[in-house]
Amino acid sequence: MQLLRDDLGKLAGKAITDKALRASIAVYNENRRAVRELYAYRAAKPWQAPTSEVYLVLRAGMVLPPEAHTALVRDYLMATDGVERPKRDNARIVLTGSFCEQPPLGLIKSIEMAGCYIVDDDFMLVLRWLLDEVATEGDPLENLSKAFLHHSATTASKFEQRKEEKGQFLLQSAKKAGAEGVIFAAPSFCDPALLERPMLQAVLARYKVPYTAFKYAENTGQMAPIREQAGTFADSIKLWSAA
Amino acid sequence: MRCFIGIDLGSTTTKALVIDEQRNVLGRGITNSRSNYDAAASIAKQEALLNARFHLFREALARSGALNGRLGEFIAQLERDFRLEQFLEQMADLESTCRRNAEGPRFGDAATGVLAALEEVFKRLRAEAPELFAPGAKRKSDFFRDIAGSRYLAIGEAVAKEAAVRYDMLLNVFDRSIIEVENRIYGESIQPHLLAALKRTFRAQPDSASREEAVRAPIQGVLDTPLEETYVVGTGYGRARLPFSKEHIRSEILCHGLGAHVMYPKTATVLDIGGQDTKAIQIDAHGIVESFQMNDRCAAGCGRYLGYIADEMNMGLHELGPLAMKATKTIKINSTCTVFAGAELRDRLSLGDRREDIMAGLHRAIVLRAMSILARSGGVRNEFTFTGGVAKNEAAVKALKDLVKENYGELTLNINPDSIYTGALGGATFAWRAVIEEGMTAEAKK
Amino acid sequence: MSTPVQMMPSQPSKKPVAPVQKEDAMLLQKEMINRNYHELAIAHDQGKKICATFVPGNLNELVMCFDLARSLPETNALQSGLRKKSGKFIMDAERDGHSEDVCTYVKTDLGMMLNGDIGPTGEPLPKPDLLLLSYTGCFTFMKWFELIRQKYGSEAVMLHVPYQGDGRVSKNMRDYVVKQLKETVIPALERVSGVKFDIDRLREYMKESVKAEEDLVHVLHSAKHRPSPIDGYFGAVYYIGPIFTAFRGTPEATQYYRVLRDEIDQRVREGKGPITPEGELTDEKYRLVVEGPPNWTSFRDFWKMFYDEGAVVVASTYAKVGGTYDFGFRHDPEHPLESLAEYCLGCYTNLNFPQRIDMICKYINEYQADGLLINSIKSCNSFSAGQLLILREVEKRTGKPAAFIESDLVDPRYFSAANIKNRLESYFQMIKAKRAAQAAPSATPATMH
Repeated sequence: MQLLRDDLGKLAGKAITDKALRASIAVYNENRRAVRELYAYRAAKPWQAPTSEVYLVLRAGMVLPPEAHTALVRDYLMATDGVERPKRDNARIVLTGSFCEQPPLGLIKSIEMAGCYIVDDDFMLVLRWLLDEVATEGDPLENLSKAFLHHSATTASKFEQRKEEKGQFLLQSAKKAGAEGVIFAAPSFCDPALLERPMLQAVLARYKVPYTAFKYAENTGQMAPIREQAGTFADSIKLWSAA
Repeated sequence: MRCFIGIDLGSTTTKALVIDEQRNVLGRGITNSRSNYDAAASIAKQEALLNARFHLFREALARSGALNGRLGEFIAQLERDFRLEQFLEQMADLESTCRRNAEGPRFGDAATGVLAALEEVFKRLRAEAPELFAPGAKRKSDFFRDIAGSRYLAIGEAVAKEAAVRYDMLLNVFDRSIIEVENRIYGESIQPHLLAALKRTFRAQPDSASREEAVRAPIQGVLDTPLEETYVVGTGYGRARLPFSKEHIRSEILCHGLGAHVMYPKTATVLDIGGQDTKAIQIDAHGIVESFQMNDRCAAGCGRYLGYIADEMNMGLHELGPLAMKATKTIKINSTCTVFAGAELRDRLSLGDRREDIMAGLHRAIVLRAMSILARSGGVRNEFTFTGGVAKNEAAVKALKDLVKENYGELTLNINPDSIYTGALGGATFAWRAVIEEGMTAEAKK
Repeated sequence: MSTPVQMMPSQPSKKPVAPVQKEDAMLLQKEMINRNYHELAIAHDQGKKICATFVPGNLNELVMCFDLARSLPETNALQSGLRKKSGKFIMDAERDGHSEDVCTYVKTDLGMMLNGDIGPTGEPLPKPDLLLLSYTGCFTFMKWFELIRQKYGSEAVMLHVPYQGDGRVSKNMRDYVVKQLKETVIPALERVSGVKFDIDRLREYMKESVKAEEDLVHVLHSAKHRPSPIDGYFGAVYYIGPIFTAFRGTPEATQYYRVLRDEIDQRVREGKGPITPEGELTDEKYRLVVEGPPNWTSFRDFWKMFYDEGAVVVASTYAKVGGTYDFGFRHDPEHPLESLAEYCLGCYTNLNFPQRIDMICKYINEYQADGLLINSIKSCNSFSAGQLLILREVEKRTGKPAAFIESDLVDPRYFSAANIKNRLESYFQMIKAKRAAQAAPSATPATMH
């Protein structure tokens, strides 16, 4: 990280001070807090925050300065909370596997149209990578390092030190969001997501969490099969889950 | 006279091209590819040599001045009459083959009925044959199998009803017979057909009849000139199956590259979209291949794709392009798979999109695939030549022009209506080089 | 020169095939491999434990210090491929929930385990007691051992080898690897085996390794001769077998490489080309550098396509996945742990693009190659990502033509002989035409009437 800091400083034309780093950490802490609020809101009232909208709000974070994005997220929350939107009898699911190559918006819409509320996902993990507040006092690099090493999201690209831990992150996120099932949506040829999938499915099976899986590509145009699969899955949850 | 021949065995069509010692193109021949590679190659070659004869007729008659002002009409009529004679011979062959296949225990008691029905079917086929070759007659295809097949099916259905004979039996007979017949080569019949055709032409065009001797002499002169097959080079899919030694075979990449270079000496990049593969070739100033990429694993973005779409839309292949040109916007078709594109097509129609716009989208999808292969092969450099069956499709050409301009700027795009013969031209040129530049002699036929 | 050798009875072949030509060294290495499979089969009965690890970053000398039997799942998979067993294994793994898109070595291994742990030779191949996860540049390795660990409860110990992102090895990186060896890897090996680590034993093994490494490099360099006495791709996969797997550091390996070296030196003296399954290549027409792993399920057919055209591969990158010895690396008994770290960091899979491109360009120039061929493997992201970029860059720098073919490691469904042969033929004809043009610039004006 020090090397990176030095190189970035060279690019910027001036060294990056500890003070600057601490300030930046604070800004991003706030952004992450706002995103967590958004996700919590959506999990509580998914009809008020459809994922096809939430997704766009998050994507904006890839091109806006973090302060502006934080404001945008909160504005959206206020705006949507102020309007009563129709509730549907949808199945609550976690969507996982889309952490790198992003699915087309049409895919997200199709899943929702097919009768699913996406109550948690792993889109744009970068916005939610660090799970807790990063300390703004003390050595900022040390704080960041510790955060990355010990308090960051679990995803397929990581090695799980202890085999007992495999799948627990997904399980916990499903529980926390009140999900009834998991949809695995991975891009074609994605080794991390696709190799990880059978392991996660084994854990879900052990805890009797229903799941289904398919692949997509950035330019997927075939939404009908996805609607069918997601729709059938949502139906099966409604029909066969222990009510 | 010495002739150098190139034969390109494609997945959909087999092409042959003949050049003379001065590398003038004398004739081109094309036939549908089939499982019997040797037959397809022979027939294509024969067609090309035939085409060469007509070319020489035209030259000889022009020199003699016997038909000043009416030469074009005369040759066109002669060709039509010749085709008719050919057709009638093959039809007679088909009839006797069908009769043979209908006899025996296969149809049991129904055999006599089938034979009688066949007699009637072929009587009608013979009677209507001249119409098929009348001036201005439109056909979906020029291949015997296609013409005979579609007419037989239509007439057969009517006769089956009238004669109370089972239609499927008539179909069965046809299916079994056509394979035999289409692989027969009527090499010895060229002269008699031409002379018989000449008689018909004189009848059809009385003005020419009055100058019969002046016309007949140059034609006979050409007929009497032997066209020596000095060297033949084969290329394309089935080339390994050709009865040629390794010396007579060249990869289609090299043939396409050289053929394009002969047509357009300044060409640097060649794109060939064939029936089921796509080739992107970079060549240098001498027509030698520098690099290439092929899509030979999947027919998406190739001629088959269009064929499949045509079937889905119940249209002729040649109608797709004109339809697409009427689009007012391009619908984005995402499927990279031919089969799924069909599903997407139906999806779109049900959503209310216009056929024209969807067609435009499908054409653009083909070209996008080609752009990807071009990029992988080293990009599009000036001049850019587009060959292959799909190059005859104006909508594909338009999409290509637009995408090349977007990505590479203004370049010269070369398109030739005879580009389907590019591979065969390259092969013929290799044949010429082998003899004239390298002093080789053709090996004895096996 | 023939060396008397204790031969294992040969495996009965299922299909009568043209007699394959073999040399002494070839028989030696086949015998070594079969013997190792036998040792693995009886290991547990003899109270021995089994350690599985990967070819890139295989710490064979270290593992031997603990009297552990060594299993290399990649070579198990390719052996299954060579023996036409991988197709079924892959389909079974896919039925068990694995994607069509992922590495076929992994699926072959998992499929083998689903089919009762019978190894490529027909003897049992018991599940390993320890998975030594040397993570050297191939992400898939990580998931491979996680999968085995999860399904079968095996213990896994991770050795994280940092990627050479900047194209060099820093002290930091080396220290990081050594630290892991000391704090995690060696203690785990001790615990599982019950044997205490003796660094001097490691030194002895390494001394032996160096001898073999010297001879291997000598053999690889022999391809610089014209004609080349070896095939640096198809032939080389046999040569690298012992040194990349369970034998580096053993006297048997040293003997093998000595025998091999002598055989190859003899071929150089006699001006002979390589021996192939179809016979000796007597007329060397094309010299190629190949990037990418070979196809194993149609190995012989694939090699024959080269043989038929008189094409020899003079150098390949795949032959360096288990260590870049020809670029100077030798195990150093004086600094054993640092040396192990250095070894892992330098494996081909751990190099960045510029390094890979430099290596290929160097090979093309030093081995006087006519061009580059890339065999792009459908299921291998590690090799495939960026191969087109490599192709363009190498063409630009060397001016030599490059060709691109596609196949797979061990999935027989992804080898299309007709397409590959077509592309290869076109490529060779291209080179031939270029040569002819360079020899006599064409004076024929190209015109069409």
